[in-house]
Amino acid sequence: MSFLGSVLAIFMKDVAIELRSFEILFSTALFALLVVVLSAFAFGLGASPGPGASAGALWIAIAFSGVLALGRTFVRERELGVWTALIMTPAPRSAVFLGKVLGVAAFLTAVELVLVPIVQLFFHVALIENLLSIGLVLVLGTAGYAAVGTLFAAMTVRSRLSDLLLGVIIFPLVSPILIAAVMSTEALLRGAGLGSVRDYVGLLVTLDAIYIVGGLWLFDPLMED
Amino acid sequence: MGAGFRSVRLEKITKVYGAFRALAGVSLSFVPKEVVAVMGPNGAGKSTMLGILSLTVRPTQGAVTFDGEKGRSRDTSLRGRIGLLSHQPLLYPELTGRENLLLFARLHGVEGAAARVSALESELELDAFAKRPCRVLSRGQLQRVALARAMLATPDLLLLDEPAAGLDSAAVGRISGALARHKERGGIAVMVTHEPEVASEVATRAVMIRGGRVVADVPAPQGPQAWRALYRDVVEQGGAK
Repeated sequence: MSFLGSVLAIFMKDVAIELRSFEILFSTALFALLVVVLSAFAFGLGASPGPGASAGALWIAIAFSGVLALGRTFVRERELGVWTALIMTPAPRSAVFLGKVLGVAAFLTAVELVLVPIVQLFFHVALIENLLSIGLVLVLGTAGYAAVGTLFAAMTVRSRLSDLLLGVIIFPLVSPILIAAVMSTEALLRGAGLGSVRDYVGLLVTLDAIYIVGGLWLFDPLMED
Repeated sequence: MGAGFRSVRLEKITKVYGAFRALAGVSLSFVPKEVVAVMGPNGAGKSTMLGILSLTVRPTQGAVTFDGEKGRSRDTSLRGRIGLLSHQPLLYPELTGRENLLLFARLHGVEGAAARVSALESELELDAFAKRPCRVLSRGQLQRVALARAMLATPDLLLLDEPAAGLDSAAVGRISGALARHKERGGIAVMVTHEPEVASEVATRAVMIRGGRVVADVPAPQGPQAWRALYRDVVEQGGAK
């Protein structure tokens, strides 16, 4: 099977499983909404806490709920030991990595589609009006987050402490992505154009490239016992 | 299955987990048309040995070779020639048996994946439950789907960890039949088992392991009683052959 065929098979498998239970989407979206609502209360409900707080609340919700999504995605691989069968197939392991990254990114994107109007509602900011530019930041931030998260979730999948380890390991690594994403979202919400955040967007593109290429390169050796 | 392996060898394999030595200098050689039954008490190192043969566990010392070449799990073509029936089913519980088999057939690059899956469903009599999610299948049904998954790519080396555990006699018969056909095709099978009846039915060779060491490596005894006697003499009473 071709590399892309294997990527697609892994991605479609994750989507098919999720569409039967909505377990990841439901729990992740609920958790993300809770973070946003609590943040809104913390900053004073009804007040307009400004673009900085809104961007922060949005990305904190994505970051925390992302750990939940990653954990659940890989719990499925651990159940009945199926991860062993997956890495025993002759499919390139980098294709397994990419398929899993696409799956996690798709789940997070679905959660973001729910999150964006809720943040707009509670924080009174123009997220939807700037959806094209903020959407670009969301896509770039989500892609990098999913790449780092998938790499480390796969590394810890056979550990009994995988959920704990995942949270401890990935936050320091995704911090540059989250900082760039928050800063650029905040600027866009202030009404700055995409051109004014090109440095941050450039940083996100660079980090995505490093994490995705690094993941493709490292995944195979890291899967050895 | 292609030309098949001419030989698979474990060469002075040692595997250490922390302070526990699971295998201590194990050397074994396997040749085509051989079904090797590996027996030993719990913790003897049997499953570790299968893990090393399947390239999912890396030995602390020593090497596993396939036709004289050192086996590496990053070798994709080699991975495709090894089938593993683990003590866990290695199946997605939310997917049906058929969906699991189709997914793994595609990842194995099996040509005519749907036809191959249908053939295995008939061979192992999975048709009655292949469209049910694996999470609702019984232990025996899961084990049969898992065997089909292990055999999807017609592997040259088939590794089975307690394939008959908890199965009824009919299910054991199907597994024995599949093993016999694998042997006839020129494949190598290594089967960890605690059941002399299963071993006596299909095995051509007996390997006994105790404390991470091979204490007997002999042609298969005739009948379950002879297997029990061999196990008692070598494993329980500390002899060697």
